[in-house]
Amino acid sequence: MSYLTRKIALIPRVALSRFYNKIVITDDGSTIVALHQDYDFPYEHSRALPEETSKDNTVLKMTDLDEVKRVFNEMKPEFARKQLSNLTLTTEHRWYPRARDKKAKKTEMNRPYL
Amino acid sequence: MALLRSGLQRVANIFGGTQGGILSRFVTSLVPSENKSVAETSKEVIATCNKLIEQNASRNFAIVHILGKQWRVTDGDLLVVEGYWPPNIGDQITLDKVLVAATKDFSLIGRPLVQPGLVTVTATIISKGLSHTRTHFKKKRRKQFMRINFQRAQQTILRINSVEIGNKINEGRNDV
Repeated sequence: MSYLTRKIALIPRVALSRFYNKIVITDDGSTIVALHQDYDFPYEHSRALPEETSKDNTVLKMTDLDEVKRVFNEMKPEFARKQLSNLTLTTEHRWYPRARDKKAKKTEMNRPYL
Repeated sequence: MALLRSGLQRVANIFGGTQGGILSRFVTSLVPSENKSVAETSKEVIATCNKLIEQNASRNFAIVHILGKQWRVTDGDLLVVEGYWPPNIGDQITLDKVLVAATKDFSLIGRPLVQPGLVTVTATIISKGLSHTRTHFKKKRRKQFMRINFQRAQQTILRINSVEIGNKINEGRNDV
């Protein structure tokens, strides 16, 4: 069993200093010194990767199936309400159906062009 | 028994170890690893911190202990210390109980206090006075008991003049 506990009990003589942030202690043990410098990287590394352009010779205009699914998926009114309120930065209340619309007369208009 | 032992050994090897162990996968390999002894690393880090202090690149802040409370202070701060405290108006004092001193790039964390003489936090007492009147009202329901007391606490306002860290980390105490 000792070889299992050895891994835990043994204090490493070599510090794992893989990271730039380092924590050490002074010789008298009074202070912990933690180094956490910001390291800058070159500007060209900060730019976005080049966009991949793939040629498609399909008959369909749209190949993004996920988008198609999203459009034709029947959404539940609750989710629709939430999305609309998020989209327009409003509360969800204005996206509920209005009760007075249900009570409104459903007769045909006298003159629809008015 | 030998079979069991070899099996356990294999399991231990899978988990531990820096090469190929499961644990090694959680360590990012973006930063090159160094193979340095603890003493060497600490020496290097402390030297870097001393150099950073000399450069004085960013503002220092410290956490000091005053009258049982810990305050995070930096240059030009105003503190309102409540309770009985002897210093008078105009006194220049140094706050010696420094628990943490830090800048953007490094921090010195005391255990419990930072190396004595390293950090000097100087402050000036601006005013001494009393707080607003606080009501201390006690009432017990259905027991015909009611007390009302008024109290004002002493308040001392002090301005932090400077928080300075000396570039002598790990050089023995020289003020004592």
